[in-house]
Amino acid sequence: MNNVRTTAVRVPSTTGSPVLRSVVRNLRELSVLPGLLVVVVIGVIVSPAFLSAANLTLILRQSAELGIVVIGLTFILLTGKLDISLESTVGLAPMVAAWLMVPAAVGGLGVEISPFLAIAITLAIGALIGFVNGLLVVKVGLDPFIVTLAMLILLRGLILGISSGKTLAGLPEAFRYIGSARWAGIPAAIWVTGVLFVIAGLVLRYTSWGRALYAIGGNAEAARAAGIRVDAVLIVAFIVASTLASFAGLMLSGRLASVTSGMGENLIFSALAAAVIGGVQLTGGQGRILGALLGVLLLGTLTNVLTLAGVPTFWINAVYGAVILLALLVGRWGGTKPIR
Amino acid sequence: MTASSHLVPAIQVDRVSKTYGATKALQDVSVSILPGQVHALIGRNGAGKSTLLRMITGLETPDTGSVTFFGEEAPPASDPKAWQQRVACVYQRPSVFSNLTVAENLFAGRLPGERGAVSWRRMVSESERILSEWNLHLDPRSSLADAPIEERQMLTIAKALEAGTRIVLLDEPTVQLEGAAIRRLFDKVAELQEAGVTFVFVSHFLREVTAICDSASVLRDGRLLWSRAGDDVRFDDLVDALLSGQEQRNHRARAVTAADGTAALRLDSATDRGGAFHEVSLSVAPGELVAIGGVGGSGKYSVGEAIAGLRRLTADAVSVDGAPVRTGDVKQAQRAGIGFVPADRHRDGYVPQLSVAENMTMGVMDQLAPRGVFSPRRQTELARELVADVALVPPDPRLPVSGLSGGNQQKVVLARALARKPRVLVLTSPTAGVDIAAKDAIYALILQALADGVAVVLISDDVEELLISPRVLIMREGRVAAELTEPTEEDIVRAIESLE
Repeated sequence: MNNVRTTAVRVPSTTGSPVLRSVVRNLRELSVLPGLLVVVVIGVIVSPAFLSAANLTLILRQSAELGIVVIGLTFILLTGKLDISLESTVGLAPMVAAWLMVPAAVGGLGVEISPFLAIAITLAIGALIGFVNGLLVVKVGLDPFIVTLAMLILLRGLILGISSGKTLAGLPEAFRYIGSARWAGIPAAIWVTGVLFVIAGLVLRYTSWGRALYAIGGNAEAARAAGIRVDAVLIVAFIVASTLASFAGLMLSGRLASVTSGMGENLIFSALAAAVIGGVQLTGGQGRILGALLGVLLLGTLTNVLTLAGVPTFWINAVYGAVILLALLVGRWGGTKPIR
Repeated sequence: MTASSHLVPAIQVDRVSKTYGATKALQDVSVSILPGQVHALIGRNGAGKSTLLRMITGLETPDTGSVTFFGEEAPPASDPKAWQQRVACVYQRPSVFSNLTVAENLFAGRLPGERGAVSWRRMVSESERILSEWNLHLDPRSSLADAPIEERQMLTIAKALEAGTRIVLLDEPTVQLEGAAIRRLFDKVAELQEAGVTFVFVSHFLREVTAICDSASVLRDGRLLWSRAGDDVRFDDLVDALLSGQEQRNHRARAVTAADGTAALRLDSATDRGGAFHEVSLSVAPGELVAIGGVGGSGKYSVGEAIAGLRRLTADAVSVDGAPVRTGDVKQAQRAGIGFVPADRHRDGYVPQLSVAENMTMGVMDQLAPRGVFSPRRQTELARELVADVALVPPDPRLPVSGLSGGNQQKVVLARALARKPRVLVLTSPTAGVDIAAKDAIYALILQALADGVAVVLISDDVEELLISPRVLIMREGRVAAELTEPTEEDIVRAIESLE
């Protein structure tokens, strides 16, 4: 380490106030804040409605599914692996559940299972996909990018096959509940997502499984020699991430009051961008859930501001991509030095 | 070769000294190597061989003194290309583009062709010319992906010769080779020597040195002990050269025999499933130290890894206090009371970006967090104890391990092995690449563990390190070839070199 700033980031200072120490320790995560601030200022300028409670709630509600996928993705990225099939899990899990639930007349299979069973099936499908991904990556030793790319295509194909490209509507109230209910005036999805972020932060900091993710991402061989059950930890990470993705799919179908064949499409790109902007390293071993959360909020706010600003629909993606690049540059300048 | 060129040395190292901080790596060393010689460079670890090699290859500049090639001043350190034209270096594992063909490797960086289009035909025919000119049996079209190390070494030599280099350094080239490949390499060296190529040969294997070298220089503690040619290079002198010359040991464990025959650690005819070693039996009493030595490839490190659960045996042949341990399972080995320090601490020892505390407690998370949730305060408390036990500098468990010195990184790895209060400690090269002070500290910790009744297995390349043990096993080709009791340094060197 020959760079003073890097040292300041990576070595917690032993002197100074606790607040300062905490700021220094979180510098990498906090480097998202200037970007977020800029987007907020632009938002205030382009529309007086931006700061309204309704709009802020909207931003959070629309970021909820992305946030939950990012939690799972962060677990996997910390180990140095990757799962891009999470986005099609978001689509497939509720699609299968809806297909089993709705009457044959509106595109279902006709068995019309109860919504509670359907919720359980949604999550089980997520867990199963994660288990298969984990086995292929960990036990068979295939490259996680290729495995999950193939899985993404396969699952996307299953969605189209099951639904014939149609949207399944008329979902029972209980199935839609988590994605549509309000608790204390705020969408339940926001509460749930917030709680999940807190739990994820605690898991990463205070459980041996969470710390094992960092150890494996930093040096898998050393983790193995230290007696960490590397394979089991990795497979569980894939299962947890996929289950979270299927839960995000459940919330999304509740919000849309239907299951569409395009659900979750391109979500993984935003999820990767959010995690990396938030300081989670693709090479593994480094990153915090706080950073990932800030990354999610930055992207959510950005989407909202672009819409409020009346950016033509066809141009939104170009601007979105440019801002992500900019945020990465700011993040690098702010402390995420390349690690050799 | 004209008569006059024999008068000008191919390499002339003239009164070179080099100091790193407080370490005098080289002091006033002069070596003269004539064209067409195969010159051996001999010395124990830390004798200054590597430093001298770095001077000759331009990786370091001498503090005082000079290096000349064929009477010409060495190029400046800033010009690596000029150095490569004078001296080529062949390592244990030559760095080649293993995904490319032999021809592409020969022409890497200067592919023949016009306006960016590569002419494969010209490249292959040119390669064939070069390879036949030096009588190297390689197919220019074959990929290096599965090529044996020997071929990669040949290729490195061919590339250097083609570039006009007439001096080749062979840095322990045979460590990864088998007998037949070694003979082919040596035949090639002899053949090229005839053609006027000069070789500098670094090896720990004295039989190899006497087989191909016609001159030798011996370094000890950064000084040149002697430099001789022809019949003046005698085998016994070479053996002497590898001895430290100091009989006084700072650390030597006492001989211990199990009073009632109960061993803390037993291996009963342990055979590696991957074939690294066969039928190794061993019994270590509580408080006893047993060392294992042997040349590279003898399987000694694999034995340590197998005891630690990192390799699978054909049966559960390891037992601790009489209870067999399931093979190939690190966690079971730890629970049985086996602590392990891996040979390559950078690869297997620690997670650089995590803190000292996390690294030290990594193996005891199941104790620290019986239900998966742990208290960082308890982790830090345990780490503080361990930091004090191993006298870590600086004594701060919160620092990332990447910022520590090599010796202190090794202490972290040792602390991790000690964290579970093991019955058995398996140490593989515990002091490789650490300074003298850290070395002493680590030996003191080993003796302390022995005094506490821990059974210790010490596996090392370093003869002096093996000497701290009253009982030394020597492995050869995957089997225990000799068992020495209270050996002298010479006994060990002779046993490793399989003399008499």
